[in-house]
Amino acid sequence: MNMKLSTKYLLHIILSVLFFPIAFMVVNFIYYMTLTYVLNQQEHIYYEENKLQSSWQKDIASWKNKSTEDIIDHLRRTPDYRYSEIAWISDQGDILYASSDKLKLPHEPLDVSEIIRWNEQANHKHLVLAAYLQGSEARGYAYLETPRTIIGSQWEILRDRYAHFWFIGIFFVCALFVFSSWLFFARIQKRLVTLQKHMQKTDHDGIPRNLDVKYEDELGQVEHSFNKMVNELRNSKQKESEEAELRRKLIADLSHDLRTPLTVIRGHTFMLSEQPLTEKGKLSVQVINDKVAYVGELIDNLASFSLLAAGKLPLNRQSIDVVKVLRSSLSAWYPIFEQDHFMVEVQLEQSMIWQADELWLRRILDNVFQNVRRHAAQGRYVFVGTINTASGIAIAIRDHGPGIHSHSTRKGAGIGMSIIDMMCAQMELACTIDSHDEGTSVYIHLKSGKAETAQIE
Amino acid sequence: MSHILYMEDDLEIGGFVSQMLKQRGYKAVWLTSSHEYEEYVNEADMVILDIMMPGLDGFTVGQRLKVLNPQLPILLLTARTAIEDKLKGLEFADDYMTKPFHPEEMVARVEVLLRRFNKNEADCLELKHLLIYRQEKRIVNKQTEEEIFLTDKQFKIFDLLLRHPNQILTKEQMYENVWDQPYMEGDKTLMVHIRYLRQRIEHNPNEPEILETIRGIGYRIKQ
Repeated sequence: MNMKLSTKYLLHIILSVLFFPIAFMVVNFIYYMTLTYVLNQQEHIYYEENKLQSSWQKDIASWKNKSTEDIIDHLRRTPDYRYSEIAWISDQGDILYASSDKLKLPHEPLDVSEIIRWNEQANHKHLVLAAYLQGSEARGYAYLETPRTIIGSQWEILRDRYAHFWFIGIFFVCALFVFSSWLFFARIQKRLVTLQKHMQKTDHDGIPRNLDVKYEDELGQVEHSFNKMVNELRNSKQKESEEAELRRKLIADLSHDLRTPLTVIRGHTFMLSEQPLTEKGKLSVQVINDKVAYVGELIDNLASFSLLAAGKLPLNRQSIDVVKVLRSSLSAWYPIFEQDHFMVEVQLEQSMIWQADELWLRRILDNVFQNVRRHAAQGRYVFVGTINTASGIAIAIRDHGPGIHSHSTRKGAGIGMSIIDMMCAQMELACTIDSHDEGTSVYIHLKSGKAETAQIE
Repeated sequence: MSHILYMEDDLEIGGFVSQMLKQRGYKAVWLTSSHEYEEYVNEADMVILDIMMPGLDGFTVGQRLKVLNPQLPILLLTARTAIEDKLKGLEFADDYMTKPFHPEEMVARVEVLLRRFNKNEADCLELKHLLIYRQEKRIVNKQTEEEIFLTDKQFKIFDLLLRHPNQILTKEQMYENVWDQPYMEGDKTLMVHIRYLRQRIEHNPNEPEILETIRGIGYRIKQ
């Protein structure tokens, strides 16, 4: 079974070349054997042409000078002419005798040209023998018309009669050859299709499974190569995920190690604040606290950003009610805004379902709220709601701050915005920002529907 | 006096946190590793855990403690901020706080957890004109000394908000907690119950002082 496909094909061709003459001989052999058998079993009527001719000549000669009645009687009764048609036409063109109506022509007397034409017509299917018969009362040409199917040797007749069996036999052999060729290619095709289907079907890790190699031919080699490739792919994927895990751990450890001293600083500023301090001292403590919180946020954003940029932050998109997430996020942010004397306006009436990751959406909202708190504190206002835009419902978060482009003591928070953009893009959402001197509006909407800020409100 | 078992390997952080807890009147036992925590855990009313420390990590210790005693509140206090860590932590812990934290916020969360698990020794809570005995499900109007009777659902709503002091609970959270069913947007059931609850507990239900509505978000009880 480990034969090469090309060898198989060559063998197939050689066999079929040899097969034809052999098959031809076999068909002929069977055909003739069958005919011989049939010949022995049944009696067959046949007349050899020369024998018929000589007996006809002899009979005609023997009937010379007999009366018309006698001649007709002979013509009718001679056993050799049982299967033939006979016509005797006088010199004047009158039909003296006709064995069947077929020979009785529509008008009499006949002329020579008509008789010649009749002879020619009959010649294809019949053997026509003509002889001049001279009786005592009438004279003219006598015609003996014998079907050619019974003319010839017994063997010839039988062979002609059963010739279609021979053609059927040859056709069958040809069909067998075509079928075996088709079978050869159909098998190759089937294996190719199976291979192609297998390549498309991926396992749980996104890589196709190994193939079970049954034949060591060229296709088998392809299957071996495919298996090798799949194994390499699997190894590299595993290596990649190990590296990603290492990286994730490194970032997590780094972030942890940075946070520990920050916590200590925070603890000490707290202890300081419990001591009697001058106004200047209190302000310093507050600034330190503020900066500690900010560095903490930066570490967080940096860690998220590097994971996100490397595509290593797990994304789990499903149908979620955005309003529910917004409300839940707001419930945590409300006390913080309250503490900073913000007026919070909430308008969450329409429920809307998006295909998104809840954790990611919360992260986006956290970053937006953080920006509002950091950059728009002087406006003391934040609006959070869902609004209708020209092409669908969008989340809107507005503040009355000085706008993104104005000077802020905390420039560099751009990383927070980058995280928002990257997360939105991966969830097929879009974030549109409209910022001017009187405030900033952030709209988050489905990518297909572009929120046109001009038509909002 | 509530007993708090605190595990933290960083000496500086551990020092000021345990000092702070003691200042606030808790009996705090601080361990710098998880090696001998079993000795102290029986007395503890609450456990504060760091995640990365010598011996077993905070996740393992927390999970074991929760299996032994589900009624023991656990607060994770850690520098691990990744969302996966938070999710993993909150599978067993009752609260998750990341470093750097504001010491006062930490103390506030400790108090909330103790109250949620009824570990607070004060069995009577005073709120405006109300005296609330949560264990006995009894509410008394301090001024008239009359008892206020609430329906089962009303008490559940009130108790839920009391157990989460100063925290805004969304309509979804409250509905799902009290009725044990998913909330459908536009359902007015909760609003109706809140209205009846206010008629019982507020001086003037139209200007509520206890049960605060945070428009568009949910409800809150400040304590």
